[in-house]
Amino acid sequence: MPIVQVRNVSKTFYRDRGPGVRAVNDVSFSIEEGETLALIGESGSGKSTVGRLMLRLIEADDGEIVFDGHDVRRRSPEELRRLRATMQVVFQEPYESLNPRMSIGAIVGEPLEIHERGLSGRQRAARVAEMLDEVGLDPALAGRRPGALSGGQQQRVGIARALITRPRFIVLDEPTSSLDLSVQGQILRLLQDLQKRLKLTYLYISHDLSTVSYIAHRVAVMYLGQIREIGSVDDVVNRPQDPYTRALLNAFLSPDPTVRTRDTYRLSGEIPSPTQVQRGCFLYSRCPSRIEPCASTPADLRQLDPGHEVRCIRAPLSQPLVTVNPELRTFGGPPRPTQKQQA
Amino acid sequence: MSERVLTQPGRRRSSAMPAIVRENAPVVLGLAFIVLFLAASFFAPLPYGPTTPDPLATSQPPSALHWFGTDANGFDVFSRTIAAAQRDIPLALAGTLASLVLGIVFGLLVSTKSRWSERAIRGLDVFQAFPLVIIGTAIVTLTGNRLESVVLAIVLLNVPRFMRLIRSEALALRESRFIEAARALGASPLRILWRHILPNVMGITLAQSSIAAAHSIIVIAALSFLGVGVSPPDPSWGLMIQEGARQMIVGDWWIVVFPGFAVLVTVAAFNLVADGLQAAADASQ
Repeated sequence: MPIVQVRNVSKTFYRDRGPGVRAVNDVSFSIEEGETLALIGESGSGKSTVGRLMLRLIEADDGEIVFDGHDVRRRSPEELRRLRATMQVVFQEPYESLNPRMSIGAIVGEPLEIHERGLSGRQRAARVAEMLDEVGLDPALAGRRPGALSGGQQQRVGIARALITRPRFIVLDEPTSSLDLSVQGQILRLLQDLQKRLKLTYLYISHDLSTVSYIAHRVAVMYLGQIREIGSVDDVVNRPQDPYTRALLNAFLSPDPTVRTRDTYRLSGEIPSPTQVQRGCFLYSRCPSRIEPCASTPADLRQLDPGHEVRCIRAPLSQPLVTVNPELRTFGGPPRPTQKQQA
Repeated sequence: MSERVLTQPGRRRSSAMPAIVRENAPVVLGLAFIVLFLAASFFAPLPYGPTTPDPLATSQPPSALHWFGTDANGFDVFSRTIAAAQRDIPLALAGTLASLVLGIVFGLLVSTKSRWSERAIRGLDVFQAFPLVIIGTAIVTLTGNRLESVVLAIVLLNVPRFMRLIRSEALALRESRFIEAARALGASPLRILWRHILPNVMGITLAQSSIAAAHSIIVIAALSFLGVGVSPPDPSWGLMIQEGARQMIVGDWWIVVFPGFAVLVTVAAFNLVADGLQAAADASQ
């Protein structure tokens, strides 16, 4: 039984004048309890908007968002407020997501002030200390301001704040992309560890494929507000069937100069303006595998294998597929690749 | 600043005010000047009564007997310049404090990006278009000439400025990630205003309030000059400047220069405090 289901959700942003930007276009997926679904795509693909729509930080135009049996979009403000204790978010910029005028203890304790009003100040402080310890921070840091902490520590504070009310579902909106590489690994390991211990469900939004294959169970690839391909990490990363996914994987650079697995499968041109209404396949203007019907036939997601859905009408692609860089699967993982990198 | 945070983690909040003062000589200097001036106006033994003229010594130039000279009525300019602080400084502070409180409340109220708050700000535009002279005259016509009307004038002049400042700061803050995080936590709009927006606009608001206090001194002087507020023979810098200006024609420069200088240094003292508070607010961000 999935804990979160997103059904046919759309969102268009309107400016004062001119056409609206269709940021999210009929997106559907579900996440099982204890699972991590990664949402990847380039900037402007609508992946962060999906996360915000799921938490109802912005209102969807259309569709259903079902969390734990509740339609999030139909909750009253009071019901929504209570629901927020069980679904949380960790943002990309750790410093900007912490109030610079509040102490770490006050930041991490605030969700308790909102959701568990019966607690005394002492009980709250105890819970905060416990939570800080759980995310690997010294509880003595509770008296400091966010500015006195390193980026990795700040992100741990963000995680502690998200977890203190014991939520079941967390949106991780690029939680490591503004951190140093070494700190990224620590944070990812912490998130993985917490997921196992607390049975958390994650929506992991990222554009960094190496972290995705490390932390996620399934991957959804977004382009211009649509999901292009969704499936297990193994299916999507090792056997991509959509031209967009394939090109995206090819664009990923390896830190190892001896790895030469990139093929010449590339998209041409720039990402079209999301204000333009596309007929047919959204990728048509850039796709190396396009054929005549792509221009006019809308491409819908269809199941290729069980649990593996693709939008391209030509999938499975006939050309021999990419040998994906093995580094993709090895970020911070078992010792084998590390040794290889050093060699 | 960050180094001290590291050495005394738990005491950040309680030590904030003394730390600001310790690190900011200008704030200390400005405050000390204001307090001393105010204390002197109440308690210092003045050489002559500020409201008792000496008809035998009119329009005397500065001398050992009358340090700042005397005016056309025989009032001792030195005694009056000091005694005027009794009214001028408390009026300025009361007006500023009232403006600060009202400005924060109304500023936060209009700090949403709604059509309603846009209209409120447009309304302020119209209001602010009236010059001080008109507002002062209108208030006195409506309420009579009392000291309270001076405070009212200061409030009417300053509240729109505070509102604008707080609104523009708050609108920028509302876009910030930590406000979105607070909403994701389920924080109510009131909690977001009180716990997240207010503390982050306080620094710049305090700095603005010192500027407003300095401005108030000038407003009181201007209103007294118009005959509003402090009435003769009670001393006020504005009134003294008004009377002194007339005597400039016959060369009696001391009547206008000394109270003018008192306004100058008081305003400078408030500005020192303002600059110091602003710097402290920036440093702790």
